[in-house]
Amino acid sequence: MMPAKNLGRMVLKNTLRSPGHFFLSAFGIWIGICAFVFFLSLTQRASSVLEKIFPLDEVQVVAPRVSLLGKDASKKLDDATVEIIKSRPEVGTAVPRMGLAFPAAGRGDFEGTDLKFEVGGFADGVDPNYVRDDDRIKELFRDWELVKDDPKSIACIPPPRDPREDIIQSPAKKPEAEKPRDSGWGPPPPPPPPEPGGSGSDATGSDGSAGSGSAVAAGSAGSGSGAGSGTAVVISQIGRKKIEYWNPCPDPDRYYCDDTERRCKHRVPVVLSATVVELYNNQFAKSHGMPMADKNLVNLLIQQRGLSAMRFSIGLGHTTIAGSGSITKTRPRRVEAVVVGVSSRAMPVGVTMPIEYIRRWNQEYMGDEAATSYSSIIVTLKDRNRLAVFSQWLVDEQGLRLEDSLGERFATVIFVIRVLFLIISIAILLIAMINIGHNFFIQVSERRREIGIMRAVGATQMDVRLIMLGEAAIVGIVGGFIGIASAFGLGTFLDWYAENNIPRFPFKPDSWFEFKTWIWAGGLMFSTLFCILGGFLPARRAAKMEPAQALAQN
Amino acid sequence: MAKAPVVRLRDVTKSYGTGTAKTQVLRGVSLDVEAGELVALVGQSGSGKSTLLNIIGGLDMPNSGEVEVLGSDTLKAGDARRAKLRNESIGFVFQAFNLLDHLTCLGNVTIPAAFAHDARDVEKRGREALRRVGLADFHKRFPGELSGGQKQRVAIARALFGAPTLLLCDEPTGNLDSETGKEVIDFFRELNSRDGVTLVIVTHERRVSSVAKRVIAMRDGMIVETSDEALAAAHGGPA
Repeated sequence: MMPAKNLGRMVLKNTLRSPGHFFLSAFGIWIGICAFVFFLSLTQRASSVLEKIFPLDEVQVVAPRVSLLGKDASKKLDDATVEIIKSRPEVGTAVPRMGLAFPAAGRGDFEGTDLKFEVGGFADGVDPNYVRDDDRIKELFRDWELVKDDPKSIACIPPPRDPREDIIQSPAKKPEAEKPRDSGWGPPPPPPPPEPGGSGSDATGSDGSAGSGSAVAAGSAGSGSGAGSGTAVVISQIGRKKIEYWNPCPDPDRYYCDDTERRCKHRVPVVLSATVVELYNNQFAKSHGMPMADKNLVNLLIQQRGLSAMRFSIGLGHTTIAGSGSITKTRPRRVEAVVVGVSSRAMPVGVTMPIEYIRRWNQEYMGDEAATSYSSIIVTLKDRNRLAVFSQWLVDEQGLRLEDSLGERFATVIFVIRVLFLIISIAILLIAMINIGHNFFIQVSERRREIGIMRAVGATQMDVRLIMLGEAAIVGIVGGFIGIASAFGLGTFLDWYAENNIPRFPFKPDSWFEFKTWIWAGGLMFSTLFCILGGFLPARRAAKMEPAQALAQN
Repeated sequence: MAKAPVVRLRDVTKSYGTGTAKTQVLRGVSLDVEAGELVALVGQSGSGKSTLLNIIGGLDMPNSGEVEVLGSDTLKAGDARRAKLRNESIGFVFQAFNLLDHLTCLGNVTIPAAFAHDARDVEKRGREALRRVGLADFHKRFPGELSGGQKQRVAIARALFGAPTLLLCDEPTGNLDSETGKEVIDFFRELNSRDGVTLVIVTHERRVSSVAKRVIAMRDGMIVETSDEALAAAHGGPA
């Protein structure tokens, strides 16, 4: 066989000397690979978006809803059920989720806007080890009640109650740049200078009797924007006298003064789903004049202003829904929470926290039954292909079922579309391959003399074959590169068009194409392979040609 | 011990086509060519001269018989071995020149190096080959820019590039005018006498065969005479 360097040089020279043949051969490959890369990247992005909306690597086991005389008689999902599921050979992990079983309402200042929202029915708990999306979540998403002898858990005076509001906003930390002021609720500050209008020197309830009822909380949206931290503070006012309360706890981003225990406690860490962030971006932010966050709102705000930007209060036993009463054993109380990140493991619409918080609250407000019943069990299968077997076992032997997954249906649709596009692309490539074969047969015929000369001066049959296949491979590589570049170009143009002409909608991607390495590398490999296949028979014919005959026919 | 012939053929047969279309081109040809010989193969068209030359050069394969060239049994040798023999030890000169139009003169001359392992000083050797045929300044020219005689000289330079032991020429002066043809013949004679290259020349022309040390006449696929008389028979008169 001839040296590889000489082979490469000869292949390149031969390719360059007949550009007409080259472009005729490469055209089909160009179109085929462009379609291949374009469609695969498009469906890849569709799959990625879909997986963001519906994580597909897990299934949720739920109990079929059964009601008897208006009462829920559904099968209970408990620890025993979890253990039975875990014992199945196809099951990798089984993680229970527990929903908040009683009303709760949330309130928090967000970017200068006073938000009130329902938490009951929109909150659940899950094992913290199951939620490990990023370092911050790994560090903060845990049951802080289990931390013994926390040095930051010091005694404190909780914020005053607001007689006009069930739940007060979560107080801010004291801005460092500000001069010390007399909060009236926290530790006594140095005496302030007298201010006209009486800003905060009359400390009502300075004996620490939180919630004396004498303070009137004013909605303070945006009023604290000049407070350095950029977040609102609770401003109470008695008559014409304002009383400010700042979070007195050490590390106030993470700790708050608990109303009941009168000690600093770590805020309840919660995570949101990408769906919630998208809903905020698309449905809420615009209508409420709030900032948009295209990528990851929570991470963005936390990076800018720390966890303080994401704190809020939860009124356990309260509700924002007028007329709906709560049937709880315990009187309502307030806890504080903080959003620590966005997780694919969070409930789609709502907040997710470590399961032990939910368990304790359910126990406190609803009793043992609520504290031992799970809302669903998330099961990760060792092999997704065993899903049907597992599903059948659940129905037949456990009386349970898998939650209907829109994601799976969408995934199936996208899979079918992807296969369809792939078939179209491969059909184009096959036609291109036949075209290349045809062109190369013509070339072999036209280049008989050249082949004969090469054989006469020492080329082996293998040399001739490799030269022809090398030329075919060059067509594939160059055609493939042009096809990939065209797909990139087309994708970029369509992204630009979509950016400027298609209005925002939930989960609208920044780019509609995901040009993964394996896609373009696969495209290049396919184009080369198809061209080599196309050139195979002509190369074989060229190699088998008797040199004497090749030379004689001129 | 007697020196082995450069070419040794025994009972070589060759036919083309099958059935009624079958044409027997060679009918049991046996021939020895010794080292340093200048042999002219003469005969009428269709007598099998070119086929015999192609079989000697490994460009064609016989149906039967024995072919030994430069000590190699080319029937038993594989394609790679035959190609190596052509690349390193055999040069070809054709009537139609058979130059590659897209290559320069130097490119044409050095093309055997593309298929050779450990080819060294390729350009230098190519230029030297061109110089030997009197075309030292033509290395950058393309075949389309040359006359017939110049093309044939480039083809000869290509044949000489690998310093062959055996030069096989098929009607080398067939497309040349008499003056140029004479120059080519003189060159071959000099190559044979000075460098000791063995030449087998297929020709119709008397002036070519007149310089041969031996003339082999062929008719209907057989060697009919191997002598000076053959020369006369081939050209219709006494030598």
